[in-house]
Amino acid sequence: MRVEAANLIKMVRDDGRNFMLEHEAKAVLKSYGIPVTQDIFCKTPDEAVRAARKIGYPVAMKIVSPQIIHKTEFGGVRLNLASDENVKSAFDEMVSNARKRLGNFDLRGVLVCEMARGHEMIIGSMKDAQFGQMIMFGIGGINVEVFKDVSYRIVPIEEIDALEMISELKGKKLIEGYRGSEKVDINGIVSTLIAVSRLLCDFDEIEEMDLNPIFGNARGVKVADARIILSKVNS
Amino acid sequence: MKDERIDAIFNPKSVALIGASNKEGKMGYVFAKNIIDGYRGKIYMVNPSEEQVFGLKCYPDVRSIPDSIDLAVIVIPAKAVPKVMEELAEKGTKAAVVITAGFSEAGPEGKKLEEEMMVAANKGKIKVVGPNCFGIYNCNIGLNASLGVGTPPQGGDISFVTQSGAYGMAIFAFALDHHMKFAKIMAHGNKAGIEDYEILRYLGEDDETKVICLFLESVNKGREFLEEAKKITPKKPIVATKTGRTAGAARAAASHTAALAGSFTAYEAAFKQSGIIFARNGMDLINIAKGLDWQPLPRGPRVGIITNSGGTGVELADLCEEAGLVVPELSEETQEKIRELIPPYASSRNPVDMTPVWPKFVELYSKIIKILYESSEIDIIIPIILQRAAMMPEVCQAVADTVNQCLASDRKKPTYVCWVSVRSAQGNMDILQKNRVPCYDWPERTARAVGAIYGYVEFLKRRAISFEGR
Repeated sequence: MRVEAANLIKMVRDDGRNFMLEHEAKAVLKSYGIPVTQDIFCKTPDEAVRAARKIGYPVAMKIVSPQIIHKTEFGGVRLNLASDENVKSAFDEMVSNARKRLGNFDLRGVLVCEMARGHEMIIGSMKDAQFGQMIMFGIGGINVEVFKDVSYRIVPIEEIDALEMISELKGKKLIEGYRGSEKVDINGIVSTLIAVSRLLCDFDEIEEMDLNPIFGNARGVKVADARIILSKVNS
Repeated sequence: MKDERIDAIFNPKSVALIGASNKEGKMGYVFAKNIIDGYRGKIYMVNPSEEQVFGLKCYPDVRSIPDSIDLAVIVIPAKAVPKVMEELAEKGTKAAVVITAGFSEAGPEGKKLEEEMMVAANKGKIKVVGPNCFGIYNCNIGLNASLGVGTPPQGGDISFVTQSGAYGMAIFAFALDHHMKFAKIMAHGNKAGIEDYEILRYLGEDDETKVICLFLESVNKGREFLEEAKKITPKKPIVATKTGRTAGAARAAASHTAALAGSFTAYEAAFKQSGIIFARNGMDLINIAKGLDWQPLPRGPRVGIITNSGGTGVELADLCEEAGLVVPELSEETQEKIRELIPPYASSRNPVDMTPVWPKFVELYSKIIKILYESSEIDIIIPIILQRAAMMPEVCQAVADTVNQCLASDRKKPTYVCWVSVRSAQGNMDILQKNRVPCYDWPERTARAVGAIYGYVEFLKRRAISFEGR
């Protein structure tokens, strides 16, 4: 858990970066038992097709480059790709989109990902000057910034804190199955929040974290995208 | 174990006043007067240019005092403070309250002085309150080492810590006006030598403190503060207000998460997870503390409203529900008991509206309070004492007597009065509050205070913390 995450963080530091690429961030999460989507890192279109077949269609694809933090702004995210053809052309298009903006950029590859389904949620972290690491939970995916339907706690949190974070939100009705919408496994959210809290307690050098979106359904939750930013100087 | 040095601030065996003066209008005069007024321990006046202060021998300096000093109260100019602190350290003084301003709050030069003062204090392990503060009280031993006038009554169990001096004292004075009694008061100003969590820990362990009130501008060592608060709230309530909630821009950051957080976010989170009751302002702080101190905790959220004005009752019902409380319709059985008492056109449903039948107010308020107290449908009783009812001292006396008779039984249920009246009837409010029946002005403040108190109960309930007997 801790050792594995520490090694991953060290690798990123050694690469001269203070933010983790998506697959690196997800590997850290996985080492803490946090469920993430099934992703395969690929370097060529052919590898991507093989990965997509292995995961099962439809899939999502995301570009991986240390020069790209906000992937969508570079046309670096494609969703619901349903065939070998789609995957191949998406690979080429994403690379050429990025090239138009960045020229000859540091392309590490693409991530082929399982398309997760369910209610969109977000877990994040930030640091407060007085209270240290804080954890945030929100419901509503891209709308989370509009409705500010989020709750915060200072880590470490216990089960009761996680439950209270959920019950504070207006959107709680949505994940409890409002008007026939699918219920989300609340235990899955609680255990994910606690695991994130543990990770934050272990690594004070995590400056900010965005697990967004997280998809939740009756079977559990899955982190579909993750961003971890480390402090500038290794602490 | 109580922190011995913090205890020396509140329970000193000897107090030295550095800068004592006979000249009216001087700080040293005000403090000498205040300390002599109620404090019965040993008092040493210090000032090289006075022989006696208020009839007590005055020493030229700290060294000449022929005794050890528990608490030094310092009112001399800032630039003289570091040297005095050194002398106090050599003498083994336990604690010092530095009233003097002109330290870190006044610029780089003052900041340097504050550092020098703290180096000297730390050498002697002196616990420092202030500088730039209003002072301290221990009401139960008559110690007033503050700028405030007079010695407050003894026998109180609310303790109040304030970062703001003058406003903190105004809040305190407001509370005294409402017959609230305090144990310990500390205004800690620049907080150069004492951490928030240390005070919290001390008051948490202090048997004389039943309710802790905090007026905060900031918290140092937030994590320790949070941990300490978590240990205290299962046993005794902490009420806090925090100013500066909207100021300060959100930290520049790349992620959504940071962009969503305001400056108050962390405080709010800390309060929620430690069960600190958040008060939106100084007056709410006192209102909440009053309800906690005088009445038992509500067992549930169900409010029974007794009114002689339909409009006020409905407004209060709205505001209660908005504050997280519930105003349920009473059962047929309970309504039947009430209907026997009230006019046929009055309402027994909840709010119970007796209508303005003045000659029957004494009887109706008393009997309906009793019915609701004994009913298992209601957890909280709020009589609205409005206009003419407020002008009738016999009504206020009857309500106070009824509430206290009810409280003498095994059942624990709080009553809070919603007071809506002209200023000329204010004296009648004293009848209630001298009998520990809290009164809140108007429905809005009532609902906010009661809602906040019930929020604390919910915190305890969700964690399965017993509050039996509280």
